[in-house]
Amino acid sequence: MAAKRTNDEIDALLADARPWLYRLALAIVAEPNMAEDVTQETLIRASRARHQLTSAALPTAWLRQVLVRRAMTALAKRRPEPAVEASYDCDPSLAISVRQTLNRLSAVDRTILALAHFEELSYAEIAVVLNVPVGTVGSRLHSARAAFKGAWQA
Amino acid sequence: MKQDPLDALSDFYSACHRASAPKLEAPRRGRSLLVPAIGATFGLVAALAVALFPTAPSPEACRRTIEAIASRQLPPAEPLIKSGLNTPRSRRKAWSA
Repeated sequence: MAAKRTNDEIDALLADARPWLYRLALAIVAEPNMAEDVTQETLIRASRARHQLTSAALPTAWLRQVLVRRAMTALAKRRPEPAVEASYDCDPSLAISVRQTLNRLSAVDRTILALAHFEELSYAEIAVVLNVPVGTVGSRLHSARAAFKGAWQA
Repeated sequence: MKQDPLDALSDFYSACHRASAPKLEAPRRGRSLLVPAIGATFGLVAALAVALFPTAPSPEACRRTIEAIASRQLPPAEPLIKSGLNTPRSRRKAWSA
């Protein structure tokens, strides 16, 4: 059983996790403003659920799960808005193309692609985050890749 | 597009890895709950006040309410003087006259 964390340790944990959470949110939603919102909501949720974080065996996995749910909710609620051009550290035309392609995918497809290719999680870890059987992860990832390729070439 | 889609996605994710997080404030303990708690308390008190006292009661209504409460809760009125033992002599004389 994991040792109990103090409030100061949780504060430090959340401060350290903030950049990582933002980058994961950015990989899923591909929209800097939405990624900021999702990150902030995740941190607020974590701060209110300190009692869970004090004894969570894997706090990063817990935070990841919360963030993924928030990101998927945000994607489901999003409204079509003019794209805000953000500066990514890559070819701007590539960033625009990828974001346009991701916007054509479902929230689940975007999330599973980010978990597999951005976070490089194992199937078992993805299954925990998405709360699906491990066997389902492979088929969903396969269909998400196919959807991305199809949307890219459209 | 000429580039392989999954390579493009990989490049995009690499850029996300290099992205710098904005300066978001990590909520400290207690602070995020304090303001909602104060707001909720004020809201509850205001809602109760509006529900219980839709308009301010008039002084006459207050007097009637106080009288009604007093008449129910106080014991039945007793004669102020049961006997003449504790009554000043001069007043006792006047009453007996």
